[in-house]
Amino acid sequence: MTLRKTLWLLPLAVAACSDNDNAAPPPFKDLAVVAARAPDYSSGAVSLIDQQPPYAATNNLAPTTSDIVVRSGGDHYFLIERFGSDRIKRFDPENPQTPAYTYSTQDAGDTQSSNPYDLISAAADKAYLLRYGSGSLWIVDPSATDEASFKIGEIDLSALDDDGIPEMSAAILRGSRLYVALQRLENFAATRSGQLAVIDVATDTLVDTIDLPVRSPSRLLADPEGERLFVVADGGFDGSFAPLYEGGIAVVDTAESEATLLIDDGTPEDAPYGQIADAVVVDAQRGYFIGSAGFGDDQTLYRFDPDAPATPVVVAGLAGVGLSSLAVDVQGQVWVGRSESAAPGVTVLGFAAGAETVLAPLVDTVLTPINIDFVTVAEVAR
Amino acid sequence: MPVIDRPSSIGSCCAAVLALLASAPGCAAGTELSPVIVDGERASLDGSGATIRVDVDPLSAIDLAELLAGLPGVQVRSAGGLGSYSEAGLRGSNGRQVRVLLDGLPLDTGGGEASSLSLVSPLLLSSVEVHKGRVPVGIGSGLAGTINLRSRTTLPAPLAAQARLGSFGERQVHAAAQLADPVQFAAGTREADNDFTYRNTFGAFDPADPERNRHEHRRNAGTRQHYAWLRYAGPMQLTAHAVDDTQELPTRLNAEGTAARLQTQSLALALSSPPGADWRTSLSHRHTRERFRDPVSELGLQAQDTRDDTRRSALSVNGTVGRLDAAARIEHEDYRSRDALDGGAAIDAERLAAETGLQWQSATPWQLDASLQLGWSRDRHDGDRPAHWRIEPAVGLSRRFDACRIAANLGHRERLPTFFERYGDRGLFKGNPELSPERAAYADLGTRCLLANVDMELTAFGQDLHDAISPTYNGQGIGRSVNTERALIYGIEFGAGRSWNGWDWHLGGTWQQTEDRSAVRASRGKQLPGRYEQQLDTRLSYGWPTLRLQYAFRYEAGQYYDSANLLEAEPLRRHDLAAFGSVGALGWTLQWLNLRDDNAEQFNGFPTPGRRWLLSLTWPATAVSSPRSSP
Repeated sequence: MTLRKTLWLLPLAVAACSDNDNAAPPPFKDLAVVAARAPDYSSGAVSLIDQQPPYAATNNLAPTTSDIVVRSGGDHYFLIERFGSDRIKRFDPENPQTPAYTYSTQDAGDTQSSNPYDLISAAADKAYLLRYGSGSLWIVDPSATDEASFKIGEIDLSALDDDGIPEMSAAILRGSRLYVALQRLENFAATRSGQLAVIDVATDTLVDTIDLPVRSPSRLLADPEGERLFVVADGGFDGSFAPLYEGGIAVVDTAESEATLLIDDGTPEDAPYGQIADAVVVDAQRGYFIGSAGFGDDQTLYRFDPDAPATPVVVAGLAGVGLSSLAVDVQGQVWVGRSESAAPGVTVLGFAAGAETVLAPLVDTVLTPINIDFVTVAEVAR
Repeated sequence: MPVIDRPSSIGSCCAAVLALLASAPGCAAGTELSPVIVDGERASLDGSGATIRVDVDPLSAIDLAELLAGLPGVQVRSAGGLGSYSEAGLRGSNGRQVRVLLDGLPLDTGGGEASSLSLVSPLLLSSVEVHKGRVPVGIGSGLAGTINLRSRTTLPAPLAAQARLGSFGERQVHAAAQLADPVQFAAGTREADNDFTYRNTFGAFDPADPERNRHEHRRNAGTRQHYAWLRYAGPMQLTAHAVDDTQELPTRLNAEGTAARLQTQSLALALSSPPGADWRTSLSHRHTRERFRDPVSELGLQAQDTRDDTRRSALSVNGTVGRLDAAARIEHEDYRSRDALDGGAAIDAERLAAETGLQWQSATPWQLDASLQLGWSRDRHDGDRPAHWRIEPAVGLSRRFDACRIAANLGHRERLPTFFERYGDRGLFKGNPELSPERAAYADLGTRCLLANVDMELTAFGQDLHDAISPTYNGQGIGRSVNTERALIYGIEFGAGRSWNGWDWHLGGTWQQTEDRSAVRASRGKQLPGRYEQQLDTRLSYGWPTLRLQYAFRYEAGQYYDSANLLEAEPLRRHDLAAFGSVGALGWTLQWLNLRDDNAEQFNGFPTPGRRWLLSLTWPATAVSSPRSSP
């Protein structure tokens, strides 16, 4: 989704040598950027994967802590180091081991981890930085060449949760509005439904809120052919981290500021798919979600029709396996993060004749994928 | 059981120190000092098993972690300055795989972490025994070995005292008294601010220091401990030990106002037969209460105020009949955990365990040493009562050749999961009731020689680790322990020392490989995290009539913080200087530690203090500095 919003940058191309397990920059024009972690969460790193066959990967780039995500900036990407690290790094794919910059996401007065969650680009010099551990959402200039110029403003969302920290977990830009998903947890327990904060991008002010029929929203998806938003929610946990099954996939009518449940994850006694861990929407008739039945490699990939969601279909070969994340590129390829510790990586799916085709059974990422995004990079003569 | 003690160069060094101190002006002035027993490090063979004994010198024993660090095959990792969490691994193990005993009673709790070395003041101890590889029956072993802390049974004078002052707010006072012939009492307090400076690259942007080059003080890292010890040595020996320990817990951000704390209170009572009895019996009980407070989620994603209570009672009997050593032990452990911020999170679990062991030794010249331990345990938790039997055989062979002795050992051991690993529920981590014990087959082959003024030891060791307990996480980041890891550990330990013309020199080291052989793609073939590959420890000292100066260097390298070996720790290069002397009956030590002023991080994100000094005073000056004690 991010790539589509960031294509104001002209497609570029790059040439370089590649290797599976070293730092050499890859010779690709269109790359998938994968944040990955060690199975025991002791470290994390980035993988860059060619979006064309044979999907060559360069792994273990820019090693760091495990609580990370990546986000595309068009021809570059950001590595967001979350809880306890509280930093954002900008990388050029040609130089994937050395960040162009490393900026803190802490305010000088912050006593707790700001826990940066995501960066949503609005323009080359403007983006919104979600801070999960704070009530304040930062407005930043991602092109800033010095740290003093990075933060250019903030939006106070603390009033949207009783404890002042609404746990902003995801956001999406649609037209002139930024929609921010708020989990509104209480000591990490999902005690009530999530909410969307609606921000006017022109004035950077909160203009509306939309109550969600799900708890613990984790991702927002755009309707490729409409004005709807899809909200992915795992439903949260109770204080003992037992799944509540108060999640699913909700659809938001942005014109009416109303949200309805599209796919219900059931109840603790009857959860047909398990928790909804992630989802993507490819087009008006096709989306996918990961149903997670618990520990270990017990996830299943389902295909669903956003307009007729009653009967999700299990994707052949991807039932009861380890799945971590989903992404869809501009070609419509679905990238599926595989979390089996013995064989982690990415499976790339196409779609033909009403069924999935496997374009790449497993692209080895060495570490377990956390999230996937896409960049288009310049081709530079070497 | 025959034990061959070979005074190492350390012992020789201490003897020289003693001689020098005895000839110091204070001594010559007629001060009556008690006879000094100079025991530095002694590497010995208990049968065929390798044991290091370190006699604790109150003048230079900063803390238990410092005392153990630098011993071949021992790896100590600390999370900060004095009093901070620290653990010891043996021969490539992690801290949870080592059992730490105080006079035979385990210090570990049900909370799942390794026994923190910071909970016992070295000033209470007369010696520390490190059993690597094979552990004699009757002591009780962790998966990788045992560290047995021995309390003082005799005082050098009716009243003895130590005081210490150092950098970063370190202050320590300890006093011990022989109240009556059979009654000994000791008490002490120890505090440190641990506000050393370091470079914090995780801080918020400061326009005055955009590159974050400025060193800032470590915040919320202070520690405080009070302790008391009482021993009555009558027909039976009664011992009581109480500890109240508080650690502030710093964060990587090092923010002001951090409020996370760990408070540990422990009370132990032991009734045992007097030393030297043919059959030694002991009845002991320890209650440990830990309170972990992270009220505003500074350390974890969830605010916590957990209170863990571990009550452990043990009855043990061991003795010798001819060539046969026999031991039996019954232990009951009760673990309760509550989170005051979450009424739903509670654990109640019990474990009843019994074990018996026999050890038999043949006659010389080839000494066969065989032992068999049989153990049974049953847990009780939430209606489940899983039971487990374990059999731990071991066999050793040793022989003396003139000034050398060679020994080889082969054995098998297991470690039961802790209560937290099986039933825990804290933060994002939940227990796994299906967890199996860790298992390890171990072997070593070594020789120790005493040639003229030089003593040497060389040991090759190996361990095949199965079903190691390690954490895993599901798609939502909720973690639990599983039996996944398999690892092969092997290496070499060595040591050598020499004394000549007032000089004493010691060199010790370890080279080890800790290869992950699990099926995990990210870590397969990589080193286990948190283990060094090379370690070197050397000390050189020279004595004048009234003064001894000592230089020590410790080097550790090849450690990764993570299982995928992407985050390599900076090598530890530590240079220390110390001066030892006495004025009358007052002994003193001045130490300059970590002269390079490095803030080594043995745990990722937790720097340790840089350059610092310590002044220690002991009255009476009845012990001399052991080079084994830091520096």
